[in-house]
Amino acid sequence: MYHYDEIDRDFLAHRAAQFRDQVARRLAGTLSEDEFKPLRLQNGLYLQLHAYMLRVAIPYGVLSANQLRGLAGIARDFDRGFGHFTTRQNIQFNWTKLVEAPDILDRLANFNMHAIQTSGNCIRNVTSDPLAGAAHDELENPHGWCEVIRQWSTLHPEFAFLPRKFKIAVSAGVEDRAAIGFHDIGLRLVKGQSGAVGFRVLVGGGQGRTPRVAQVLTPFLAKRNLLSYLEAIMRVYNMAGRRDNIYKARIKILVEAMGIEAFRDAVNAEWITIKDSAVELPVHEQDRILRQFAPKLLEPADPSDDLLTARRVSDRPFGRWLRNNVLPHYNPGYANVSISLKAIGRPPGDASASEMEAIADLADLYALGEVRVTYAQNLIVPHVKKADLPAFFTALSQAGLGGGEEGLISDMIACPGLDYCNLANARSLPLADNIFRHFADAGRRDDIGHIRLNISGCINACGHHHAADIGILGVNKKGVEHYQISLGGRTGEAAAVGTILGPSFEEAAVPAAIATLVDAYLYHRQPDEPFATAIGRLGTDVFKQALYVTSDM
Amino acid sequence: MLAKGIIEIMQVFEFATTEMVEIIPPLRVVTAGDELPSPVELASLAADQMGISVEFLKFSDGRGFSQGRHLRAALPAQCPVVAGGQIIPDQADYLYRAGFTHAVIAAADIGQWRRSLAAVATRFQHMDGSPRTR
Repeated sequence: MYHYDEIDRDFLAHRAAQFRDQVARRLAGTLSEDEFKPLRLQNGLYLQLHAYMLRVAIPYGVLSANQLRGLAGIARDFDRGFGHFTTRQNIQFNWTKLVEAPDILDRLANFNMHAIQTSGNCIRNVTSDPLAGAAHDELENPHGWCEVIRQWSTLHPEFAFLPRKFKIAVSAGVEDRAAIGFHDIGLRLVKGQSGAVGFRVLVGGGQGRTPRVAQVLTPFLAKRNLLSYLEAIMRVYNMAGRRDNIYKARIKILVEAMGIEAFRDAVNAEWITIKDSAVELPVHEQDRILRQFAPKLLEPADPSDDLLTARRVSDRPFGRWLRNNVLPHYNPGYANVSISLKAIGRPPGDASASEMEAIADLADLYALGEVRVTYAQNLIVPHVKKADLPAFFTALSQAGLGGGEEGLISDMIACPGLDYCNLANARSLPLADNIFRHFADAGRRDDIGHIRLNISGCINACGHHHAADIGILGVNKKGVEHYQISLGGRTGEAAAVGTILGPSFEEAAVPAAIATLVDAYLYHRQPDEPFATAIGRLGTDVFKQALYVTSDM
Repeated sequence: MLAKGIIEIMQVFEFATTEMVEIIPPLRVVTAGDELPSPVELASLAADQMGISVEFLKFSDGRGFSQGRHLRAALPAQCPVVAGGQIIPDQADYLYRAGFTHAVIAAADIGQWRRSLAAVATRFQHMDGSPRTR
């Protein structure tokens, strides 16, 4: 991971002091709420339904064990003892006070963290593959480039007041684990014709009320030109993106209105004026950053599965965890451990202070002291020796975190919904819990296999319902919370937006409706055919009929 | 009498010196987000050593920052690029680094503009007029 130097630390200290001054001026009345709003948002502070929410940046989802302990301390001292990990690989504290926000930023700066640009109409936290540097299928570690983009976008003077928020994701695995097709800019490390590695650049993806899959802007961009090319895209968007209607202000709307060819021409016209100029990252700076993401020197480790096989026979929960939550590592003696923040009674993505501390201790004890936050609101500890997995599992179970739900129907993504958010139409968290309870039998969950089920409490789609095998969208129907169900969305290179199946359901009817869809799948599936593949083969009509025709009878 | 859209002599905050100064050269005025003068007109502004003022209608309309950048690159150093209209002190460093040389502010606010300009010295971009501190 990236290690802060004196310059980075000095920067954070000054930035926190600047925000303290802004808060003081707001409280004194010399800054109006109108003027203060973008300033607080660019420091991660939202005004929610009941309190201020502080969203802390976890750059591309990477944390040290010490930073996780620091976050636990903030949860304990400034919140109600919990933190909420988000799809954008950040953490949110839902019960903070405005007057304490400067103290929290100071505390964060002590362990090299901040909340800069986690909100507001600016370039947000760059997201990436949570297995980067530990994956079995990646071309090279994308995190170094995420750090390059993080630094470049931090307090960029030209792009602090964009038409709307702006999200960039980078991935490098054969499997795209960063949903780059649903980002304003998606970057994928690819090998060019000459064999050199560069970026395929996608633009104009996003969810919200107008879900769009990103289009290819250029199939290959040389690494040395990354920053000039990004600046060119941003400048075209900053000048031409709509500012008259926030629902039409994202770059996806601009790309669609102009057409990808015209948009590309505009970017290229801008790009030739700055390509290979001082805008580019100097080679020494690139080297300084990328060096910190060089492959880890791992101790030799036994690749044998004998120990694991022995225990899995006698210990079913261990077997489930091993099968679902232990992910492959490029070194056959190692594994990456996914820690499910999904369980009955736990809002998806929530972790208590003591749980965060327990995970930090495990990362120190059994791995390299690094923890990753995933798109699906779980945590990953990379680089665990296979031989340590049984002990890891035992300790995890003692902390109440031994669930083996990775990728299953229980591994839901859910936004905070009407319990916290002032945009929401409907609650997401209680529904997620009710669905989990409906599938309480672990054997049945395993039998169903991989299903991405995502819940958004409103059309802004923070729960990414568009990109799910089964998407659930909360709507308000004459003052009553209802939920619309869609099918067939997916992330990855062949990203797609799900299809709405029909009229919405009242909350109490949703778990049974999901079970109906699952039963239809189980009935029609071919041997070893995952849910997503079955939808592709069968189409949505079979499911529509199961859901509406049968239930009408 | 000057042509429409041109003003003369104004008291402005100069980013480089952090002082209020008098700008003598006449300024061509454009509204942030509106079309900028053509390359031909910019060349003639440069030849006449005229400056240009970008008037922000809303401080949160970021188009003016890209325009500042463009104007700074298109005009020689002796031509001022002035930010006016609705701008707030907390934007001082962004304006300066986006290429503006001056800002139209109330003289009473100079202390806050100075503080804001100096609040965060570290920069992570290689922009004209603001070398990276690394």
